[in-house]
Amino acid sequence: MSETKSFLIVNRKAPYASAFAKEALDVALIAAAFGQQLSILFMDDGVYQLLKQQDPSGINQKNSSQTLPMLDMYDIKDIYVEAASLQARNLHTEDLLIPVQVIDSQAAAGLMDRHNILLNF
Amino acid sequence: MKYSLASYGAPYASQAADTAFSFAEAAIARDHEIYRLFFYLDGVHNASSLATPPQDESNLPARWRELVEAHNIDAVVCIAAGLRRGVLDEVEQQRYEKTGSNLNDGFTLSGLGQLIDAGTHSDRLITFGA
Repeated sequence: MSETKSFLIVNRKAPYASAFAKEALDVALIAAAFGQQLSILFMDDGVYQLLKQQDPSGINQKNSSQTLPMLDMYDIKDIYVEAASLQARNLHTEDLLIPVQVIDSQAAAGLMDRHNILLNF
Repeated sequence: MKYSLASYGAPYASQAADTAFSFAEAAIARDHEIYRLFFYLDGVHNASSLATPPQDESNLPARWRELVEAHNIDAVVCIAAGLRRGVLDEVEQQRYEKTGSNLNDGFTLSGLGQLIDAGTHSDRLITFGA
């Protein structure tokens, strides 16, 4: 691909209630494979996607969080979580499966501002 | 302006499916270019030739096909999302030995790379149904 732009994937939905979490991760991996500059922001119920010890086998779903460690393998290092979304759900970074950068809402808005392309999921 | 549209909502389940269509129509009417339509998540159902709504309801999949063919728009359905939800072309029908195929004329099955490509080559990539 001749051009590159910066992509921000915003994950706002809880895993398993819909296919958004899983299919958003697929987009992240493909974007990285295509050599695009990519950041990911988890906010609202999307922070639940990051929880440790997910086990959706009882509802016949694949554990989509198993894909999260692959982000690092694809060299996706810029993974952000909105602090207010964690606080509202009484979650802490120790509860999360992968290392993330916790940012305030203003910084989250700044991320949306400085990326070329926003992909909301 | 060169637009691409990413559509995630299924017809009859999500207003986003109709809104994406209205946007595409309006953009064309104002002489903008549609670089690509990309159907992902439940949006893949917009490309089904089998949708059969009652006659007094809008047939959104049929309207998409007419729009795509009339203006020769690149309309791509994510192949993984489509296969998962039962939207197949004849090649995939044979590959998976299914009894039928239902990808509408004017649409193609392809990979997620087409969404990334749409982002890099359009002035605006607009998501409907997130």
